[in-house]
Amino acid sequence: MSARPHLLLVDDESAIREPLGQYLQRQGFRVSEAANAADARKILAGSAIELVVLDVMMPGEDGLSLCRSIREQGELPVILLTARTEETDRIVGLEMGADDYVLKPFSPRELVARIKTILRRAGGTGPREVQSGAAIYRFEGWTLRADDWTLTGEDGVAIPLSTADFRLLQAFVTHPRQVLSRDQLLDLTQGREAHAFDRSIDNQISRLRRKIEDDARAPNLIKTVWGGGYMFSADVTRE
Amino acid sequence: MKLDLRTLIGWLHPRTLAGQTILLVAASLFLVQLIGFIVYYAAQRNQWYTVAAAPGVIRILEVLDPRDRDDDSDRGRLRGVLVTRQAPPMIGQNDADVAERANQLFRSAGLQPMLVRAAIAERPPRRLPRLLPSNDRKRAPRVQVQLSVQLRSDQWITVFSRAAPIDQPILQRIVGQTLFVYGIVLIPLVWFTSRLAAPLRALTAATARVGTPEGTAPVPEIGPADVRQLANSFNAMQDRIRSMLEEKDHMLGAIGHDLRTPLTALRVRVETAVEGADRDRMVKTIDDMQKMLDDILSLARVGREREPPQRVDLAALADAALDDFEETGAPVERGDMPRAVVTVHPRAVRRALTNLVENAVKYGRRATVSLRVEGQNAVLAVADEGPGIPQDRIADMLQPFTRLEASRSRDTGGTGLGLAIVRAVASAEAGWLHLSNRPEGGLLAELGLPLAR
Repeated sequence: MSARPHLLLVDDESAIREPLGQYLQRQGFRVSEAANAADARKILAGSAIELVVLDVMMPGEDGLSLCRSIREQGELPVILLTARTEETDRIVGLEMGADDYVLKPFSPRELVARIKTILRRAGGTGPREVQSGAAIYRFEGWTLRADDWTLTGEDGVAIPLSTADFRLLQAFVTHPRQVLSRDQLLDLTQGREAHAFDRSIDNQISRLRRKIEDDARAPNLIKTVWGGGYMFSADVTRE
Repeated sequence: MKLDLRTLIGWLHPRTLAGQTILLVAASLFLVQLIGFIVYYAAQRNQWYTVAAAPGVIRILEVLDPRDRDDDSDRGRLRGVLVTRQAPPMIGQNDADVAERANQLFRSAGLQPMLVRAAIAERPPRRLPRLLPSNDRKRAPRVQVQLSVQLRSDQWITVFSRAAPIDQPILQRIVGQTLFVYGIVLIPLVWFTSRLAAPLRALTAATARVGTPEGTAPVPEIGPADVRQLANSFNAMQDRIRSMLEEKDHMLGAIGHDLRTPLTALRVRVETAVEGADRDRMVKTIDDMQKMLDDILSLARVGREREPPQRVDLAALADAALDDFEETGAPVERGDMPRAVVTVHPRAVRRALTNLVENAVKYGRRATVSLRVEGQNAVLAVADEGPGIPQDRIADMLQPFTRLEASRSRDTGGTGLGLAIVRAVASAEAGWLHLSNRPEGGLLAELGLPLAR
């Protein structure tokens, strides 16, 4: 993370883009602005951008499409700006390939906090795949549906998860068979509303184990790694 | 046989088109059959008078015929014929109809009897059958006909003959024939009415699904031409409704997006340009507008979920929702929550429960959530410790944008859409919402949802 990280702000609405750009500059970032995907591509090709703040809904090529092509080229972090319409509702809680998203209307202070969190952990978790549908993960007879935060067992009965449980499990299923430290798990689960989760990761893990493990005292799915953290030790398929 | 009275009434008063048509036709057919049989029976009876009278008449005419008079054979000729001076006793039941028929026959043969009597005995005297050849016994039972004719004031001639009785199995025949006719008429009728009823049933089922998110497939255009036309215009109507609903969704999406952009711009400018307490108040106002926009969009979209409903453990759903409240430190408590599986859209139901708990916390200090199974329903109950709602205002509270005046002046916020959304979710998920004041104080909101089968 350089002293003045270089951001690219892509939004077709100048009413948002211009004041936001000024605000970010005052917060110590270097900011390039683009009004559409084509301009954004030119800037990406010409300068060393460290993070992209990208509006989803744009005329012409939309933000999701641009996000996908940024993902295909490397690990440049992306934060999406979305309006919670029916279409983007499905994106909430989804893996989008973006590192994070904020809902309009957002607080600029919150956006800055997210940008700083992501720059701190940039490169840590690796690139993710972009997908526009509702993500469904399957592991060990369980089905996790990201659109309505439910976990369905083999009996076909869905168990709704609390926000904290869902985010923790989502962090695990998107990083199967990887050792995740407590800090990484905090980043993955609390990036969005850090103040909302004061429960410790260990407490959350044991709660989650009670829900998905046959025997919470001898866990098979979420294993404790000595000195390291936790590892999700099941194969996950994603639809 | 034990027959439930209600079932019987049900059979006599069918409600369906097919049932009513079949009942009407069956009743008419039965009436026609009955009239036919009455006419047939009368003709049969009339014919039988001749059958019963004729042998006796012929016998008497033979006896009286002067051309055959032969002294040697007088005995033989008179065998079986009884000649008396007085009126003989009649054996069995007098039968005026047979006597009248015999009288007519005598007159057409040129005889003018003074008086004719006839009597039918159901069973011939016992000794008579014994004299008959054995194979006669196997015949159908016969009746004995006594015919007595008064030719002069002091001469009666009496003969006995036998005839087949009229008591043919008339009831069996009427039933048998009616069933046969029913077979011919009703089987095609059942086929036809079901051909008529099937498209109507399909139409009924399709009508019930109009406006639901999964929509309804076009109704097959089958059956008679007028029924086909009905299906055809239904399908056209269905298309129009679908396009109107799609237009509404599209418009709401556009409004949602288009209002968010200026709200976002406003918020960014407020936070960058203004400092101090004013800024916080402006941000709060923007947040309220945002919340109202979200609520309006949610209310408009309730029941239009695209995903099929899922089997969901309602206890786990309530548990997860309460976990989220506890994370924020809200005063919520858990009552009994036994496992209850319902088939719903979990996100919508969670939204509804969240709204109820938010209301309870905001207006009633504390929310106690419990779950119970009651008949075919799972009932989520949210109780609070607030002032409740005046009885006459409870129905109003379910209308959009309605708030109690007290809550407005207390500036507790809220858009007045929370309960309207809950009620819309309840009805979209085939459940119900019931509000009542608890005797110990506070409001009790109950959300009932049908248990999964």
